[in-house]
Order: sequence, then structure tokens, then C-alpha cells
Amino acid sequence: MLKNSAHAKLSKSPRKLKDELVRDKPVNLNLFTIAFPVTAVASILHRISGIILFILIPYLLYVLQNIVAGTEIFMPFNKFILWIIFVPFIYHVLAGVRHVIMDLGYGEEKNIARTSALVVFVFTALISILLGYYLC
Amino acid sequence: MLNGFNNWLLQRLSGVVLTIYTLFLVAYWMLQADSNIKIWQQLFATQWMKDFTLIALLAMLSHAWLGIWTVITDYIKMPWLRLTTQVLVAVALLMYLIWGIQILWS
Repeated sequence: MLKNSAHAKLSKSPRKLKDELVRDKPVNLNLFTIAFPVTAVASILHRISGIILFILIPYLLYVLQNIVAGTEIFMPFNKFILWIIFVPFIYHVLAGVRHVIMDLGYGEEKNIARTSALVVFVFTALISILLGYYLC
Repeated sequence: MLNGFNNWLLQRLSGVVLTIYTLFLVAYWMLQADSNIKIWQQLFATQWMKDFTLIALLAMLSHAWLGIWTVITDYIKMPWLRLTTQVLVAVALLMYLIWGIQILWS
């Protein structure tokens, strides 16, 4: 049997060789060096706002409990907390609507999708400001 | 009954239900002459609002479960850790359901 490296490589299956190449190829996982399209930002914000809302479910139930009991829950400090909670909620709803519209097949092209992502950002800001104004 | 398509559909439908519930609350708030705790207490004392809120709560818990399940399966790859996390989330959501029912009807 030959023992030089050429024969050693040939004695491996093509699949094993491919696996080695895949495993050793370089990756860039430094998120700070990657230029994300606005649609990627919209998507991750949708996920993050969803997680935030999940964590805030007990607080919403706490507010409901106080409303039913009649205790004064809408004091200025609580109104501010509620407003801070509403911002991710508004974003999640608007981005969700955009999601469903794209599910139905509308607006999936690159430029339209980028525009709709910006529309969601702008409307979230507008409604948040309006809500803050009305809560005061 | 429990398949990918139904999960996908349930997530969209529960989102729609939650949006309708939210828009109703906003409309109710906007249509009041006054803004105080009494108008809200009166609203949640009626039978239909309790029923509507329970439906919204069920929608929220199923929507939350599907969303968080997606995130968990995306990021936690170790089977035992993923299972533990999923069980904790499921238990938390069930406790929220019981708490919600208790708030509305006791």
C-alpha cells in the first residue's frame, strides 16, 4: 500500500472530503461588521418586540386586575410605564400587518419591501408620539 | 390538528383577534368624554366584555406560545435545555390564563 499523502486523501470518500472543506471554510460572524438591509432590521425588531411583550404579559394582567378592582392605576408614573410598553406593541402590530400582507403575496419585491419597512418605522413613531400626547 | 400549517394560520388569526381587541379599546377610550378609572371599571364589569377579554387572552397566549416557541427552537439547540425552557414558558402561559380567568370572574 502506498503511504504518501496523495493516496491518503484519495482513500477518503468524497463526502468526507466535502465535509472537511465545509467545516474549515472561513466565516464572519461579527455582527458589527455586517451591513444589514432595512428589512433585516425590521425583522429582528419584530422578534425583539415580541419577546419584550411576552415578558410584559404579567404586567398587563396586573393592570387589568387593578382596573377590575377599581384602584387608581392610571397615575402619571404608571401612564409613563404604559406608554413605554405601548411602543414595542405598536411596532409589533404594524410589522405584523406588514408580515401578513407579504404572506398574501403583496409587496415581496425588494424595493417595495424596503419601503414598507420604512413605512412601519415612521408610523410607529407617529402613533407613539400621538399616544404620548393623548396620555398627558 | 397540530401541524405546521395550522400553527401558521393560528398565529395569523390570533394576531387579527388581538388587533381587533386593541382597536376596540382605543375606540372606547377615544369616544369617552372623560378619562378615568370608572369608565374602564364599568366596561370590564359587563358580561360581554369579560367574554371578549377571555377570547383575546386565549388568542394572546396561543400567539405568544407560537412566537416564543419559534424563537426558542431557533436559538436553543441543546435538547434538554430547549425542552426545559419550553416547559417553563408553557407553564407560565397556563398560569397567566388561570390568573386572567380569576381576575375577570371572581
